[in-house]
Amino acid sequence: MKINRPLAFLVALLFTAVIVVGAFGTSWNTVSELPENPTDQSNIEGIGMLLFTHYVAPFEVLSIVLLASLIGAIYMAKGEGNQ
Amino acid sequence: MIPLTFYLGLAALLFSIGLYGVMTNKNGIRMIMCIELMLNSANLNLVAFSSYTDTLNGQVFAIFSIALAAAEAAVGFAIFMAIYRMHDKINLDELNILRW
Amino acid sequence: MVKTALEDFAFLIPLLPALAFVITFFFGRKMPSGGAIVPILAIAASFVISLMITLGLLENPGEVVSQSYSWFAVLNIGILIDPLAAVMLSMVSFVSLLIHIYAVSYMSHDPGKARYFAETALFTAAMLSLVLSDNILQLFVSWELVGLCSYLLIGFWFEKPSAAAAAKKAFLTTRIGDVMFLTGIIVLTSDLLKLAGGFQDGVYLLRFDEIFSYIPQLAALQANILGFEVSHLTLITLLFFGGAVGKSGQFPLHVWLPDAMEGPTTVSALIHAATMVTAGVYLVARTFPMFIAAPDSLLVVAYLGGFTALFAGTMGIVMNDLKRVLAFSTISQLGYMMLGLGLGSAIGLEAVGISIFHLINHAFFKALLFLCAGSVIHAVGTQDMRELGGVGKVMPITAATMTIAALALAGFGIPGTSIGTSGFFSKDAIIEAAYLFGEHSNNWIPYVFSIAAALLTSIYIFRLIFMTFTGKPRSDYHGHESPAIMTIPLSILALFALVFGGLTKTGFMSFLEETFANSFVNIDIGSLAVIGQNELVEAAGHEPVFVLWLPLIVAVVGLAVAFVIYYLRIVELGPIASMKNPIYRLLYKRYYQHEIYTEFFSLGIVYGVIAFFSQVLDVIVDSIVEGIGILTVGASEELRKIQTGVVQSYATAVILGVSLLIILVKLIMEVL
Repeated sequence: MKINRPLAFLVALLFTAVIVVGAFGTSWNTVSELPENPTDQSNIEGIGMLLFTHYVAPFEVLSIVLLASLIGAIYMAKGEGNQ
Repeated sequence: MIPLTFYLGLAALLFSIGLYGVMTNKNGIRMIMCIELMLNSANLNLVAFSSYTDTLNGQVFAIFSIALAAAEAAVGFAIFMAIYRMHDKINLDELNILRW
Repeated sequence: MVKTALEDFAFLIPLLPALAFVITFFFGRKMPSGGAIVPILAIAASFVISLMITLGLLENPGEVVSQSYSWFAVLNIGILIDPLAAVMLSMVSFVSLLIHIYAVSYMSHDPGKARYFAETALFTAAMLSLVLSDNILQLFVSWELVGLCSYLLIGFWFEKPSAAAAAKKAFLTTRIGDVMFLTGIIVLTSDLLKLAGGFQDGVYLLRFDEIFSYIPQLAALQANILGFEVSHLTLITLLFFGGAVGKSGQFPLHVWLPDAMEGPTTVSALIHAATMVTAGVYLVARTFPMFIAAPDSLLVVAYLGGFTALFAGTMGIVMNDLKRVLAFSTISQLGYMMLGLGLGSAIGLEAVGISIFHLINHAFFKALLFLCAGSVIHAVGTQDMRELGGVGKVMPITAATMTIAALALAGFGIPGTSIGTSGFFSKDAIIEAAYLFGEHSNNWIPYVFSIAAALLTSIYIFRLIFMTFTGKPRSDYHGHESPAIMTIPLSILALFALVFGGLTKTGFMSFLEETFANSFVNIDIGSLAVIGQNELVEAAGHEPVFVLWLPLIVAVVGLAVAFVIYYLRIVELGPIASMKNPIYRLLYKRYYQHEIYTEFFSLGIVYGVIAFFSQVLDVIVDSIVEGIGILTVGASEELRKIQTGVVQSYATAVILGVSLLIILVKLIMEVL
């Protein structure tokens, strides 16, 4: 089957419509004010703290996943035979 | 201030553009790029929700997600290289030897 | 102390050969001579244990070995070694041991000998477990297992179409009997559950002592079958006897046994002469209290047994195949055993004694006959008696042992003394019992049958001896005496065939009569016989002299006839033994059994009915089924084109579906 561009466009449009309607139709439970002060907006330190305390286990697992995908990618890209 | 829904709408738009690309492109490289686009629209959502609920968990997840996207892209390109070596092209609509 | 210790090892009797089966089956190919040593050692150990237990029982017949373990619900597995089982165990393990030793040489050139020894070991295990089971269900399971082994071993050379067909025939024919047996067990179980008032803990309903204790109530239950009032006990026993008929090759289910000779000769000797085919006789003997309490059942057994003895004998005298003669002889002798049991309606428990006595003696001399035939076949390479002749000169030991076996089969001996071959004592006991029965009930049919069959027995077996071992070779063959590993079992069996009957005559009978009066069961056969309306008479030994001598005279006449025709060759047989003679043709064609059973019954009626219904089904059901099939195939032909194999198409479909699903859910939630 040839790729049907109009159909793909329509489907993508439909999907956008669904999400947008869903997003605008929902009342999100958000904070009323974002911090005005730019210094308060730097959250690098907070993220770093979270990564190495609460999320340390996923972080370590992620390193293993990266290593595995690295090895896998090298193995597959290298191919058979050519050193 | 900009309402949260605008960010969500932007993410939806990005996602749909990526989707359209995935559905129409034959070339594998382009397809992976479109997939990255979709992935990043999801990251945008994560960061937006994180900011608007005043928690940092969403942003940590965004970092995880970016790292995984890197892994996915690396493996994906490696697979395309292997396919290219076999078929001399990476047109996905011609890789249909498993159908019926 | 020694005795109790031995009893604890009783479970090893079937277990050791079963283990040998596993070992030989998996590792036999890597061992020398197909791993034959494993089953031989295992069976030898079983034989030693059996023999020790038997000797212990001989001293103290009341104290039988009985061990039961709960299986599930009201069923159990268990061991019962009473006098009946003990003699059977010893015989089975002994004959099996000798045949295994013999087979080491006989099967030495066969590539599948590991398979052979594994299967015979399994058979021996199953047969031993059949004999020592203490409940009817375990007996049935073993019964099926020996049937399976028989099937496998008849079809041992399955690359031969005739062997495969013979195996199938044996399996299907005995299956008819097995189904009857199973039906009998089911009827019995449902009756017992009714009488005992449902399940009870600790009561093993199908164990023989429980079954026997319910005999009077079972006999009182009446069933109405096709307008006849039949006692449930009669129904059950006749169904059991149906199983025995199939297994023991009685008329009309005997057709499989001659064809079973397609297997190796050792298999014929082990399974189709000495052990498995006697399982039917054993079953009737084991449930003898039920038979004697059931009106008419024993009469059926007696008539059918006597008729089979005569019927098979008539076919035996015209066969030209060495092994087929012996096969018909086996059927005939099994008929004698059944006749002996059937005569229990007049002589009571003594019937079990004489019948099992004949069974044991028959096992010795018939196994010997088969092994000798195997020796001849092994050396000469043909089993057609018309091509043999003069084999006695090159194979003296085989000829001598086979002659002894023939004398035992024909029943030579001097009446009134303890001099005679084994077959003489047991066969004459049955014939005398038949005379007693005739005198008692004025019904001489069993006696006439048994005398006529004795005459035929003598004729066909000496015909076989003279045609095979005397005269001049009728074809070009190179015979040689078999090696010692084959002749030694022959000699041992010959010794037993010669003297076993004379040595154990009286002791054996009285030993077996203890079977139903001991620590396991204690049954008054006399009172059961009253329930079954069988009048028992005392065998006082006051038969006229001619009754004692007639079987011997008949045997000698048979010998003389065979001598004149086949040794001296004075009488020209040409016109008689030709296809123009209708009687000869009838016998040679085996009463057209093949035509009746296979072509008329199986192919004509059964197949015809099936074919008719399948035609009808073709039109009705098949059109529906095929319609659905065509619809499905056509639809999928079109639908499969959706599966393009292009990832993008799938992605489009997935996203479209998800979007529509979300809209649908949203709409439904709005409506609700």
